[in-house]
Amino acid sequence: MAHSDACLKCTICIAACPVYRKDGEFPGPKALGPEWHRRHLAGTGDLMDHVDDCTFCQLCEGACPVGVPVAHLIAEHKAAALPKQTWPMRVRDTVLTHPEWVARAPVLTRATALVPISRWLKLSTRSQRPSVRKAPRLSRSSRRAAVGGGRPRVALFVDCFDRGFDTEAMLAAQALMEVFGFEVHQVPRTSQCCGAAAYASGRVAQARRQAGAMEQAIRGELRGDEVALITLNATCQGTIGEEWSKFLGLNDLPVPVIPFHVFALQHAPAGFWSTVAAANVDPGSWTWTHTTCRGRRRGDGALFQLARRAGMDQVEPLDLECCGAAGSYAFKAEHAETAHDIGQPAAAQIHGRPGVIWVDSGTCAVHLEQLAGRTARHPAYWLWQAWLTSQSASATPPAPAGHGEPRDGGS
Amino acid sequence: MVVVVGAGATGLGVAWDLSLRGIAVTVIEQGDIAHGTSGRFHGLLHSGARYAVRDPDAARECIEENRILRRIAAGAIESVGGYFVKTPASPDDYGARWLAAMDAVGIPVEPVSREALRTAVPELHPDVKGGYWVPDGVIHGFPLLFRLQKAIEARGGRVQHHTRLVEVAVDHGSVCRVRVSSASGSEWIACDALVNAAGPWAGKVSELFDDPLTMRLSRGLMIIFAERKTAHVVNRLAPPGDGDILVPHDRVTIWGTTDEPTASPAADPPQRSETQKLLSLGRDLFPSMEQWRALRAFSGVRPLYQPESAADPRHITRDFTVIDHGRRGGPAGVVSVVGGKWVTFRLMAEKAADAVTAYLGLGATSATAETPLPPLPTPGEDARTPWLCECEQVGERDLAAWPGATLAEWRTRTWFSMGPCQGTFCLHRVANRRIAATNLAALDAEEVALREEREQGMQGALWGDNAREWALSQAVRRQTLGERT
Amino acid sequence: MRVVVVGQGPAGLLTADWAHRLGAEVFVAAAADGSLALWSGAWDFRSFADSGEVVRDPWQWWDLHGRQRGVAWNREDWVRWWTRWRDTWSAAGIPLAAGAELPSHNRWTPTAVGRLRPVFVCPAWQWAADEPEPVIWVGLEGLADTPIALASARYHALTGMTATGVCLPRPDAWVPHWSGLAWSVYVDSEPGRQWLTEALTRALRDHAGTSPVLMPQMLGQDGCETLIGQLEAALGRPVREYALLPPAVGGIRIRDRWKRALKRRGVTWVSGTVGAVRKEGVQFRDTGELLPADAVVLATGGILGGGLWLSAAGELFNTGTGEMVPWSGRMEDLARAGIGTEGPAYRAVGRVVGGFDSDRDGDSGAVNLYTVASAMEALFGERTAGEGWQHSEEGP
Ligand SMILES: Cc1cc2nc3c(=O)[nH]c(=O)nc-3n(C[C@H](O)[C@H](O)[C@H](O)COP(=O)(O)OP(=O)(O)OC[C@H]3O[C@@H](n4cnc5c(N)ncnc54)[C@H](O)[C@@H]3O)c2cc1C
Ligand code: SF4
Ligand code: SF4
Repeated sequence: MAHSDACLKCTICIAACPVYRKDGEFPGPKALGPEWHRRHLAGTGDLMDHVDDCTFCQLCEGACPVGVPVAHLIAEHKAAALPKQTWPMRVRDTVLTHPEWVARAPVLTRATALVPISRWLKLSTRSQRPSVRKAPRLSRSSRRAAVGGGRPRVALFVDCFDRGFDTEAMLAAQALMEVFGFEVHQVPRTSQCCGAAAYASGRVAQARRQAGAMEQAIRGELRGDEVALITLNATCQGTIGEEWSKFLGLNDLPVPVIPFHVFALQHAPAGFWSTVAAANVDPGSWTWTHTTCRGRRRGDGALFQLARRAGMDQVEPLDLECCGAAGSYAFKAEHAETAHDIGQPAAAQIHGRPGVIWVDSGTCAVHLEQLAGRTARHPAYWLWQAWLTSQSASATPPAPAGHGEPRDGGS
Repeated sequence: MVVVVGAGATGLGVAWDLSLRGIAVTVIEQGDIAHGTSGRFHGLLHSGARYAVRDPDAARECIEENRILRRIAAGAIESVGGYFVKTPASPDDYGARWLAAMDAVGIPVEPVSREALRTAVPELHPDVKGGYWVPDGVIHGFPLLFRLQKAIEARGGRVQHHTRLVEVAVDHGSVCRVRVSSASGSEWIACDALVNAAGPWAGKVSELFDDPLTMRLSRGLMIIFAERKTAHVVNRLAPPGDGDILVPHDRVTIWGTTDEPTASPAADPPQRSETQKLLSLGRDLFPSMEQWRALRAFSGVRPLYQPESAADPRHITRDFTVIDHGRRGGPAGVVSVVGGKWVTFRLMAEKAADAVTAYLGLGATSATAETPLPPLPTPGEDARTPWLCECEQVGERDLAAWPGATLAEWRTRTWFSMGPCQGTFCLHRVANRRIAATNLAALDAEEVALREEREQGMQGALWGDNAREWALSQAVRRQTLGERT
Repeated sequence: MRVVVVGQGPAGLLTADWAHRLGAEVFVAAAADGSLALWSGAWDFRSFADSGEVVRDPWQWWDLHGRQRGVAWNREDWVRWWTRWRDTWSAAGIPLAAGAELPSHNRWTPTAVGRLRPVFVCPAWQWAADEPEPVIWVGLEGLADTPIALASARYHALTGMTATGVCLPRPDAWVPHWSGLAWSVYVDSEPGRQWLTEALTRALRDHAGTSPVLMPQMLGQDGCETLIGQLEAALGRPVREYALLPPAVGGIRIRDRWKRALKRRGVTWVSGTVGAVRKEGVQFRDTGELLPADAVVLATGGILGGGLWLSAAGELFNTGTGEMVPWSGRMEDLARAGIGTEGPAYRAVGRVVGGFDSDRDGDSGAVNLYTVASAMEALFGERTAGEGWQHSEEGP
């Protein structure tokens, strides 16, 4: 791996690691990543305890000044430790690293509500299972497009979580992009996983296979004229946009891969924003934005901007670099406590205030909802709600004075 | 009693050989163990393949000693094997000549396809054309020398370091005593024979008695990379030249070397221009070498000897010479041993000890080829103390295994400060373990010396991330720790 | 106006903060975390003269020597900007030591190995004194970076004052790889706080007097000020920290609080390595994406920060623009090498500017302040003088 040898021992990665700051036993990214790897290459890299406690949030890697692929070296370390796993854990991880199976039959998760099964599988009995949010049919009228024919096309990437549990968010994103004036089609048609879950659990070879199959599928379904491939999940975004080419040996896709909220900020017409902003959806209520750890590899602040642009009343970023959910991490019994501790500051920050959370990952949403007691959904969902409100509002009285910008957007 | 000058591989080898023959020895060393070339070499356990064409005698000795060392020094040898790699620049006819010579010398060799090579050493250039496997290996020089020292001491021999030989007294044509000087003054030591195993200083030592040697010193340069970049030794299949061997050495990789005549036995620190040139020579073998994280650069001086020889040091034999000075008109009882390789130290020692034994009129023969060197005691595990040096995982126990050692001695014995941070994060921690045994002023001086030694090596390879490491160490030293020197 | 600040070390955060106060829309673009996590937060104005002698009055030093370094400020300018900097930290929830309203001279702060170093101001949690005094020097068993034997001996040798070395035995929860950061996490927890209070009280029972207790920098994160207050109440003595090596808890506190405050104010973070700076904005190296900007400020930190890159061939580069940087090629000049205060499409601030050897001279605070303020003056002109300045941002 390029730069695996670059480590300066500066410890900046340690200072960025959320697990290190909650779990006293965790040796930290520098020890588990580059230091282990250096010994490993020399044949003296004994496996270390706690390597599996790494969430694969990759904040360490993003912080490293010399580009050491810290988290990916830890993934190698996890891979080397795989043979030590016990049977029930192996079964569990096989399921958790195939979210595409769960996405096909989300009811499967109900079985784990049975405590004995969960116990045997070392599934957390603490963390909530995601509830299934199937979209109602979206009314045609609310999806009216801004521009006429020959509209530019985007592909919307359907991730396992949204396919299985939150088609609402998915359809909201689709509808919004149609409102922005784009033709949208969903890829891949069948349920598949980009490899993110397997990579996080150290199943590097499996991740490579899954990614390869998914890449084939997407390439086959792209029509060639898409402006972008839009993602709704920061983890899949990172995996497809970065890891596929950097670590999993795949070629870059022929289109840029862009998170929905970034795309919205770039491509929604000005009138769209003034319309939603004018609707003033939920006055007096707070909007907390949380860019998930993997989303931070692109930086944070875009979600915050999105909420402000949409005219949300009081916007505040959650002071969390990672909420602890980290894909399937929080669902594993041995991690439940750490996951909870990592996300806990969110509850303290929200502290009884009313409001909702905008977050760019479904699993993080489940986790945050449970921790903070506030509804947490994908920004596409919230934006769509705001749009619907603005539409029903503008159907009766016109927009209030003072918000009288010309509407060149979706009405 | 025999005095041996030099605690490098050769000197300690001679002392070990004599000890096994039941002869009392005292080793005199001006610096620490491995102060000379034995602490500044490439780490390669030669198979002899490099010398097969031009220097078959040296090659033969290499392969024989290579086999013996694997037997007697297990633990200090990595049997990793090596490849001779054909690049587009390799001379067409060289391969055939080399194979014939390998056959004549008797060094095992196996052809390896380009694909197999690239699998075994993924960092190799995609254009390499295949090559051959040979039984090269790796020598861990420092631990091996400390094993020799302990073995000698266990048999009643003495190893006095930081002590210089300054005078040789001759009585009726035979050596009878030597004067040595150290920080605690100077003293005379009576002796029946004297062995000059002073490596690159052998010429200087020979000036102390009446039969000077003309050494053909040659300086070689090496670059250490921070990580093990190859699992096997890699040589360029071409007549020996500069920049053609890469040796994996435990957690690091060493690239070398050069060959340039020098007058100075003390290895002059590498200049950046020299290391840059050496680095660029690696491109046809390892295209990404310039991106590898460099750790430091160092140089060593080959104690070559060949009275009548060509100007190019590459053409001077790597074979060794034992000179019985009494036989050529010098003082009787003085034996010099010069030339050779680390790999052949045991054989050199055996021959030198033979000369001494013959002079003393004793019948004992060498037993070193059959006597395994006892391993160093491993410090006990202690899960309840933190690492002091995290890069190389050195803890309190490792230091405790060398009581009374100075910081510099702890460095080569425990390997602390040898990893990527080069002492930035561990020197003060280790110094704290030493304060009880010394005073503050002395400790400060030891710290400064160690910092300087580390920095000098870093400066020779100061580019890319290593330059950033250097900047970090400056900031930590001066701003965080408040050091002013 | 949209300002893109490249880099998030101390100079980058200060630039982002001030540009935001001056009304700009601010983006911080950074390839990695900045250097705050390496550093205790002590603020150097000028600690040593070129001769190596200790500087007691850095105001005076800049008066006398500033112009030779191309620093055009008089004392009034220094005071104005210095006050703004102090208020900025205070608004971000970073408290300065008492008496730091407008220091007249350098004070002494101890290092982990018992040396003393001149410093202008420290955050409230760190110990600094006008003159050395007898102290209780606390180390922790199992924290390798608190070498009390060495530190107390050296402190005594250098100052003639006693440093009573006290080693606290490790708690049950301790694990061998705990750094100061892990310790700080532990003492932020209830059991940790209890352990520390009891262990310290027990250890100091037999030490009469009120001399200050010097603790390693591990007294918690956000709970730090409360913990110090509790310890002082329990012990009846001042309790302060001395800085440790990285991960440096002091700098991490500053980083976390400052970034949190900036994010709440709407400063946006974008990650990636900037490989080119153009009139229109900055371009990221990996993705080729352009982040539009009206002004670009490079706060990329020199060799250590990665803003300068020394190639194997010995050439020095500005990584933000890919341009070659003039340099003598001599090692001893590397620490001073830099890109100057402005380029065709950017302004530079902090260490990457060059011309100073802050490690040696102890002037990194002043260099940051001067370069950032100059960039503000160049970008915002008159506004920086007065009414354009937003003072009252709430701390978190
Ligand atoms: C660049 C380079 C790369 C090499 N690579 C390899 C390799 O890969 N494999 C290999 O087998 N060989 C290699 N060699 C050769 C090998 O390292 C040397 O041949 C071998 O180490 C010589 O050992 P020595 O004991 O003879 O000399 P040294 O190790 O130099 O020992 C001589 C000792 O005598 C001491 N001394 C000198 N004068 C006095 C005095 N007056 N009083 C007291 N003490 C004194 C010195 O301090 C020194 O410690 C390499 C050499 C060089 C320079
Ligand atoms: S990936 Fe996240 S949890 Fe794992 S070591 Fe890095 S920062 Fe820590
Ligand atoms: S991996 Fe990167 S961040 Fe971590 S210690 Fe090494 S250089 Fe620093």
